[in-house]
Amino acid sequence: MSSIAIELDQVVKEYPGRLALKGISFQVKKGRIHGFLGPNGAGKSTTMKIITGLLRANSGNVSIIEGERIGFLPENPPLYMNMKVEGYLQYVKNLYSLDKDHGGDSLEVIMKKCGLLDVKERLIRNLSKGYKQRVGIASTLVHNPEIIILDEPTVGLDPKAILEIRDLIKELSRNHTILLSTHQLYEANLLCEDITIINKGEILTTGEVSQIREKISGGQRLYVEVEGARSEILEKMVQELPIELRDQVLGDISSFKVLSKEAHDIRSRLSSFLAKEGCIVLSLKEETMDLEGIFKEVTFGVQDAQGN
Amino acid sequence: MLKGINFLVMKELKDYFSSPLVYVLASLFSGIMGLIFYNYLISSNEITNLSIIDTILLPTFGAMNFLLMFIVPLLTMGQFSEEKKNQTLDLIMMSNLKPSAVIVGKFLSTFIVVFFLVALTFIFPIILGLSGFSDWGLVFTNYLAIYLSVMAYISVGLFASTLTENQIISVVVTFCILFALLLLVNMAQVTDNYIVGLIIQYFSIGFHHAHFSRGQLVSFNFIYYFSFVGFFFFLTHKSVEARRW
Ligand SMILES: Nc1ncnc2c1ncn2[C@@H]1O[C@H](COP(=O)(O)OP(=O)(O)OP(=O)(O)O)[C@@H](O)[C@H]1O
Ligand SMILES: [Mg+2]
Repeated sequence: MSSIAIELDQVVKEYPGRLALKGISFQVKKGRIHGFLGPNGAGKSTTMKIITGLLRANSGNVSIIEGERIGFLPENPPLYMNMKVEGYLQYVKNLYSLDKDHGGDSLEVIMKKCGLLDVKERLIRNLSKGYKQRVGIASTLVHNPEIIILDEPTVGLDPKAILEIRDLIKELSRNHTILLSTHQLYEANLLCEDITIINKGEILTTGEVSQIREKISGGQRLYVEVEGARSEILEKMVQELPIELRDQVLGDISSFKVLSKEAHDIRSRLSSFLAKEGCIVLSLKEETMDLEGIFKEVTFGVQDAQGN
Repeated sequence: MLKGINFLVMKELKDYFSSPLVYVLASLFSGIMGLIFYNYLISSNEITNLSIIDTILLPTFGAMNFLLMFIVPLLTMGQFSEEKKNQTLDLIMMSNLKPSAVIVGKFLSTFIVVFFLVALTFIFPIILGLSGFSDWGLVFTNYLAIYLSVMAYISVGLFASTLTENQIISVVVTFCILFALLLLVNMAQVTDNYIVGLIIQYFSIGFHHAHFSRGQLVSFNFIYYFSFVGFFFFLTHKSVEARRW
């Protein structure tokens, strides 16, 4: 039984004239990476600010595991542009250690972890967005918190930086409980053990990724273009493979969408089947299921359950 | 609390003295004040204690006070607005520092900067002293008045900078509040209701400033300045706390 690091109970937040959180409840287990998933305006940042105490809820309860400190990286990292990287981290460390020293890694170690050693004498103003984000993440570590909360840590970064930040988050998860928000299902899948999905201020589902994935019917989605496909071949394919077809356009070059009914990768079976039938696969593109789709699926599931 | 305030004051002072703004303002201030003082000096032909007071000292302090109404808001404009814009206010709010400590820290550091700015003019009475002037009590109360007014300006400026993420707006709001308070003296003269006139007059910074510049130390003037600063502290505190809602 793992203990609970953060627990929200019926948290309501109303901005002037707008109900942002409609009584949300979920738990973050200690030592796990928890993904907080939702489209723009769902209430992710609001929830995180309430957990960190920057905002007050109108009603409901937030409990944090006894005496644990939280490191928080807001959507825009809070940086003093005219400070140098090391100076800034030292400043934040001092700011959070006014009452007592919280121990933990030295700045040198933290900067090494976050790949900042090369830029430690540079002005923050002159850093690229990816590096600013790293400085932001590093600043959440200086007071040795058990819990780290990251608000969309990879948004707006280039693909290389995204990979590096994800690696960093994975690395951090060995010693910390992490709650991170994202609007990419793919990213949540990749990084998180647990997820909570929020939409319009309501929790749609929360729990372990594997269980939620089961809830969301259908696995992989592929967009396929082939040369030389005839309708008989496609019919045969639907019978032999665990798939559904959508949006078929037949012609010299045919295209269609494939929805796999199983969780595992269907691409190799699909292309070898088509090759065997004498078709040439021109392209086979995986479509990541967008949140819209997920929400349809999840809310559909909810209605289904209520209907029964 | 004290440790926290000290920490913030140090940080703010470092910021002030590492940005060009303070140096630009210091050279502007000392340049303009020097010119004004020199101007009054050469245009007064008779050199007696009384004529020095009326034709050099008081006009110079008057000009200094007026100039500081422009300079102080330029110092305070970024204090909260920049921290709001860069989200660094949240960084501080997540620490154990109380909002009041943050406000006091910013207030003190700005005051220290202006203290040294004004101290550049200590040379003026010394120059007058060399030509026989000796009413040091009046010099003292005039500087006291300047510093008390500066406190009032800083408290207004800090409040205005909590209202917005935009430094320009913050500066304009500060000017508006300060000039409105300045104009209250004139309004007091316009109204023909004696009591209303007295009340309006009481709220004006200029009215209280005048006592000091004439060399009077009256307790209600101190009460006025400290309640003025206290009131804007309160507003600033409310405004910072309002972020949580
Ligand atoms: N200070 C505020 N005043 C009024 N409404 C606000 C405020 N902050 C957020 N909102 C509203 O509350 C809702 C939730 O906002 P929030 O920022 O929490 O969403 P989010 O899930 O973080 O979105 P995003 O993915 O765009 O960051 C939105 O509809 C937003 O417009
Ligand atoms: Mg957000």
